[in-house]
Amino acid sequence: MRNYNKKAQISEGITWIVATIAIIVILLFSIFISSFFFSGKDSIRNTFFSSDINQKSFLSYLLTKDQSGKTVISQITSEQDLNNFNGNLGLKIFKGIYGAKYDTWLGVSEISDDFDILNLVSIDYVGKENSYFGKKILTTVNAPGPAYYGFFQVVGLGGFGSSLYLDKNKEEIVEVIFAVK
Amino acid sequence: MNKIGAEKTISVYWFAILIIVAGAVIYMVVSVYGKPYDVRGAESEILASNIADCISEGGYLQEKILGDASFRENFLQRCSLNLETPDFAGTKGEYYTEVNFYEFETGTKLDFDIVQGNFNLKSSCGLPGLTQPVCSQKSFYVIDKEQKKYRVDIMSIVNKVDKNA
Repeated sequence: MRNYNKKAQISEGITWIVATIAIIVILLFSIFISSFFFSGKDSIRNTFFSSDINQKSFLSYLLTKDQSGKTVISQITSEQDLNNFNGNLGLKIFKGIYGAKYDTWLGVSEISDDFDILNLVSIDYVGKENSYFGKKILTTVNAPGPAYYGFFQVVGLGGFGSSLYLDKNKEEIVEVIFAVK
Repeated sequence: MNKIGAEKTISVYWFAILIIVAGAVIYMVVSVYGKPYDVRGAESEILASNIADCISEGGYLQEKILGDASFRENFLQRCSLNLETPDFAGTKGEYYTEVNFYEFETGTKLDFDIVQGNFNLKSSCGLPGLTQPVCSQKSFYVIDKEQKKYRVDIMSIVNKVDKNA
């Protein structure tokens, strides 16, 4: 009888010890997580606010006229690509002012064949390679929302971009992308 | 007698566990929320963004800005900015802003700039460390209605070291 009670006490004691160890392990794991993953977030990422100012450059760029009085947006809409005037002006603005901080791409993009069935929108726009900015740079920001028609911008983790539809069917856009170096 | 002893032991055990758990929770909360969020970077960006909105609208440089002495003198009022910091009594100001205009083609600096706030903060700009003011340097391209091209540089500095760093 005495032996039986002792076994029961040992069994119960082991349960308590295991439970204690489990509690301590869970606590240590929580402390580890909070120390290494959350305590460093003591500042706010400010890329979001940069996009406002850079978008101003894009809008002014599109409104700039050449010697014949034709705006850049009219030129791009009719030619569906950059030309000597707006290509070089774009280089001077977007590489010249922002080149040190961002990889930039300016050009015309066409709607892709990939289609998001749920939202009935194109997933992405495929950039036309041009002789001024080359191939479109890949970022997380070049996916326009479905509800927009007009001037809009998308802000992502790696940078931001501004775009303008060139036609009512939303099949082509002119866009500038800023990817943080 | 034995039963009472076991209950006492368990009570002590639960009390110890309670203290350990409470201590761990307090440690985690302090480690996550103990340091203040440093929002000065965002604040300086917002300040620069608001100044840019005041200077450029709809892609064009606002009229009656360049060379207008009254705009420079009433810059804060015209742009609806308030650089006062009542929470930091006794300082010469916790903000500094500077706007410079350049001819875009030549890069020539125009003889018209706007300076507001505590000028002493500018000398600390770029110095490393959390106890230094946070600076933002922004530039953008803009045209006026006559199609003249400009580059506008905006520098905005936020000090507020005492409450953020």
